Amino acid sequence: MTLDWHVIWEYRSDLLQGFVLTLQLSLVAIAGASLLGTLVGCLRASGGFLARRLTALYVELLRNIPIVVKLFLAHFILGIDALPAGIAALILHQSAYVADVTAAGLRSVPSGQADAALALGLSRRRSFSLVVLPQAARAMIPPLTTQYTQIVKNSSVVMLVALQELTFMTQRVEHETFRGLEAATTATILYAALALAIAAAMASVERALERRAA
Amino acid sequence: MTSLLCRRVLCLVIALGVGAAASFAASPGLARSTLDVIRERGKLLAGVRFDAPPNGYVSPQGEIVGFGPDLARELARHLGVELELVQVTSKNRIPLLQSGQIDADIGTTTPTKTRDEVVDFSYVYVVDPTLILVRKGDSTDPADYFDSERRVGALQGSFYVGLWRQHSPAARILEYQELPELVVALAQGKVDVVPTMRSQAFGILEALGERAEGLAVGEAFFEDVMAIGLRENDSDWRDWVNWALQRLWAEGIYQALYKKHYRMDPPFALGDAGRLQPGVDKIAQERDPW
Repeated sequence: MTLDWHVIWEYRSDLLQGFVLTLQLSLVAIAGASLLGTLVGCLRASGGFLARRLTALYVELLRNIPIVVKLFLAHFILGIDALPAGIAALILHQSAYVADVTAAGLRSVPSGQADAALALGLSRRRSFSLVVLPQAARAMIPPLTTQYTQIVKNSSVVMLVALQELTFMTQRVEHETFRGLEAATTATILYAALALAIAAAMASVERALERRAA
Repeated sequence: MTSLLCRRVLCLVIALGVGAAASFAASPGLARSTLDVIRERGKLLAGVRFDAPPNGYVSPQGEIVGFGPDLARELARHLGVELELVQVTSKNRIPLLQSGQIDADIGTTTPTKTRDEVVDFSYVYVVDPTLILVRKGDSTDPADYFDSERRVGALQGSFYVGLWRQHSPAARILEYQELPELVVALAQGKVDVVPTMRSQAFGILEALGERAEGLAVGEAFFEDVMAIGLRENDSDWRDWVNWALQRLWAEGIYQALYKKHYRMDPPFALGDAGRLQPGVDKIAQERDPW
């Protein structure tokens, strides 16, 4: 079997367009899932009885519903347009996992740290934001990196609602040229590049947190 | 964290290297005809649709029925081998054929130049008008939708994407992965029109039953032809399939099966310029089982 890589050059604008949409979806979903997941995780770790029960229900429900089902509910049942529905599905899906990571990270900080901060005269809010959260954040970086990489991979689900992201464009190349190996290899490289960029960015954040703590 | 990153990069490089090496490894070409392979194997691997009535679908009793499966049964019978029906879709039919996992794609494939560069085709064996599905009350004239303002729905990889662009280069086409989502998108107003083949349009309305009240079948604007997909450069197998189609036509079996499933006589004449090849009904050689 001979390979024909020039088809990738012919379809470069389609593949680039798909990559840009994947990148946009991933960045927006990472930001949204981080905000929502961190809020839910904080409530789960530190909130009152009702807050902990409600957030536990939120996490269990969203983790156990496949992202495809969330997407179909948003787009075909609730009638939300394809792009917002895709972003909402990605954010809701991954926020549950981010909430779990956040709660675990907060619980990993010894309770004595918060007690000591309070004893030194810091308010509850300042002891949480200045003492507990930075320590928890260092522990959260590796699992959060994994979650963000998941968002990149899950972003391909939006092609089910006719959004033309990277996997969609890869399939277009294959359908029109039957050069599946070349198309799949190109998509692999692009997805891997995106995932490695996220890993590198998170590694930088981890080093910055470590320097700050030192 | 840095060592984790390095490990990930190393894994990626190894994976790409293995993939590249595999791609350059010599793969065996088509040494023998598929006809000989089938006879030696004792089984015909026929790719058919499970989701495209009346060409190929699963009956309520769980049987694989339709014009394609029935034709495959006739071919297997005359080859004197068993039959295995393999599900094909728009996405996998060509790769399955190229990889040898099916011997023939007896589905709903339209011969196009691009496809003909990688596989071969038999005589046209189905002619199905292409018409439009619209919402009830909307125009049923396809020409009213050939403008860039209308949203067109189609399945990704289907023939209709390119066909519609020929009529309307600036059309906004939303490509879905599966037919149910496409039909729901039309019903919900996410697309304005769906080009599809006549048999599929009526099949969709029949499957929807009362829920089809909001949909309507428009006029035809193209005649879609379909042919049996075969592996590239396998002339012995292609010749046999073409002779088989002509012999079934000469015996009247072809027309009976067509009418049974498409509910109409074939709107075309099989063969070269609509004529069967002279002597096609004669069994010539041992390698031509019938």
